[in-house]
Amino acid sequence: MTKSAYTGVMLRTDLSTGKMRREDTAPYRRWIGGMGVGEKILYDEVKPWMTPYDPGNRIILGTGALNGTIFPGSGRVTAVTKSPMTMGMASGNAGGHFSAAMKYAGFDHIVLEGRSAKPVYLWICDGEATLLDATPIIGKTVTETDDWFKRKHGEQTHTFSIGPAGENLARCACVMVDKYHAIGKSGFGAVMGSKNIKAIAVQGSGGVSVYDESGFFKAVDAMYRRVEQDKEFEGFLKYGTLGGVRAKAEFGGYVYRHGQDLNIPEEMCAAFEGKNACAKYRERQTSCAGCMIGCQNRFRIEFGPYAGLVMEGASYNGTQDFGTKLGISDFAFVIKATALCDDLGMDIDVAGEIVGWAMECLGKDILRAQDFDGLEPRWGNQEVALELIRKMAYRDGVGAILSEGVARASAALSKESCYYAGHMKGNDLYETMRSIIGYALGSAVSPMGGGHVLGSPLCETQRIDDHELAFAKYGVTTYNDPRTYSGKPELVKYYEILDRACSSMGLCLFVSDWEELHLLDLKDINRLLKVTTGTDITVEDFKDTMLALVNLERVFNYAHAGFTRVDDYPPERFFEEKAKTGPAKGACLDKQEWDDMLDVYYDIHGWNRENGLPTPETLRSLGLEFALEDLSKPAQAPGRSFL
Amino acid sequence: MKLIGCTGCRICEAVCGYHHTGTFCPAKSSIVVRDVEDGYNVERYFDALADEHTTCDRCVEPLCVKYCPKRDVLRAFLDLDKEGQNI
Repeated sequence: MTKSAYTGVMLRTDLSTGKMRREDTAPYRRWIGGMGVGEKILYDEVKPWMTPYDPGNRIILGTGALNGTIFPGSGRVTAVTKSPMTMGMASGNAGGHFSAAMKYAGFDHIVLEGRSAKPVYLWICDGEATLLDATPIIGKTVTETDDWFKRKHGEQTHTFSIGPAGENLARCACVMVDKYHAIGKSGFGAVMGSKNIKAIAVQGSGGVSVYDESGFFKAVDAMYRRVEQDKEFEGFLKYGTLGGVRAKAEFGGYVYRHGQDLNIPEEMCAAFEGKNACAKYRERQTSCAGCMIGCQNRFRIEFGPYAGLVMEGASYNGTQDFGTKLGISDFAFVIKATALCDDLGMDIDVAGEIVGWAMECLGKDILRAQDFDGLEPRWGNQEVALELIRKMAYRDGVGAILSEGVARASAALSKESCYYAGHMKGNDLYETMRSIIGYALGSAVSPMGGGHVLGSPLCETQRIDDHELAFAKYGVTTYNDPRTYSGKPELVKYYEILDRACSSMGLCLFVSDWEELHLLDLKDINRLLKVTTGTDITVEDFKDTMLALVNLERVFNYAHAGFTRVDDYPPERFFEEKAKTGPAKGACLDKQEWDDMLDVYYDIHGWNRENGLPTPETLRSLGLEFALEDLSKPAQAPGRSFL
Repeated sequence: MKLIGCTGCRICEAVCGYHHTGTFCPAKSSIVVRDVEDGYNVERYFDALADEHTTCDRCVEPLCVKYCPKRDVLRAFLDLDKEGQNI
């Protein structure tokens, strides 16, 4: 038998009936793996009349060809579902060791559907799967849950679980993988909660083969050399995402006090900068399965109000969510708030947006303490921020409203506060929009509603030394010019393809040319697909399949959530308010420029300028004839019904 | 013993499993990394006996060292015998 890194097996679990079956993955091979296969299954099986909490919704976990091997960045597990935040398609992925364990246990994909009558968890061990009683872990935090599994099933058990937020159907709840890795935005945790499944725990003692061993090891060796010799990658190797703090601050990339400015004080930048934060709090670096990079930091707080706390992963995002956005310069608080969200199973980007919005609205007298159960969220107030997070996870008092996400919470609490609510398509917005146009475009058109991992480029603000290579890859000259509109649709399209390719292979974006120009591009990824699985397709074929995914997401979002061109505009505020000070002083989005940019973005995708939807010809050219009929069946905009 | 600087990537386990079985299979590795409270402990199977793990072949050019991000530390560990003395 030909060797392949695929196990070729999908596990189907119907939580309503408790029935499980194994299915051959061969019919899905066109969609590569991971996210690609997940999105195709969601498209085929979840119908527009099924709400996200309907038992008919699916959660599709996926690994890719590289998971379980030693290729750098091969630790990601992906998930796809219909999102309760947007009513559209959501995808996400997380690191840790779950993906490798899933492959060692003999499964490429796990599809959950239905709703269990009692709380359960799915236990998978070496090809066997069982649904077991989760009563002992109901109400437990993610840390307690993961520890419980390790005691019960052994230290090599890896988990995909929800905390109290997911159990309580906090709409913004996330899924946590192995305690410290989140499948963050889009409400995956709430969908798990709606299905009454607390966790999936997996253990495997099998192995992963590769199709062409010598070719695979050559690719690994070449990648080690690239990573170890790349000067631009040094900061990342040392400090993970915190290595980028100062560079981001220096071009006005940080959201300060919930977007009132894009300029942060020097003491804030110094507190969060990798070398300082790590010197003060880092215990060591940790890695996902099979990855030599070690970009996750394990922190220990020795002094102050949070003394004794040990956790992993307070990252760059955390410094914005719980630092700059709330006017807080204390990295210990970033660690504490991230740990609290992780433990409760709540996304940090959503939590940061809601608390920031609450602080701004209170400061502007739009909302009052009585709107927050007597709490006064003021800039810099750590205790109130933590209490609001706790309230959201338990849907306690105003927490029941806030945990719906900022779009719904603002609509429920005060019309005036809606202007300050940062969200795209109903999903809370983390991204800086005004000072990095391509990054903003990628986030605005992202099918999951914001997010920067489905098309936002990073190159606009990176130091690029090889301009010949950059031009050859991007085909535009503005790749390093953050405030220009021209050329950005092309950049976004480039990364829409690359990001989906990584997520379909089980690969982390940090080893791709998204993070650093000299790292993996689609050609490299296609070669990896060949040496691991024997799949012999051209780079053009690979590209078309990834574009087919982008098109399926668009049509799904139209049929399920009613999203069209009007949903591709950032919040009004970013067209109205200029950054006041600092390197991005004056930065503000321009409506006409955004309009023109969207036109080009739709043109180069073969989409209709009027509604931002694929034309029938485009769908046909990508082999998506089955999606044609959905173009004439728009949902009646449930994705915007909170407005 | 504690492997200072170990990040817990478990590449050594997967690639040692590959050395023994031709598949990336940590369960068949002769080297095992254990997550302990303040870091990672590493163990080597000199004689696997009844355990499902495999006895270390003491490779001249071990793959576990080649692909370990902290290869010098792992090399030093492999230079120790069962009693922790330098070989």
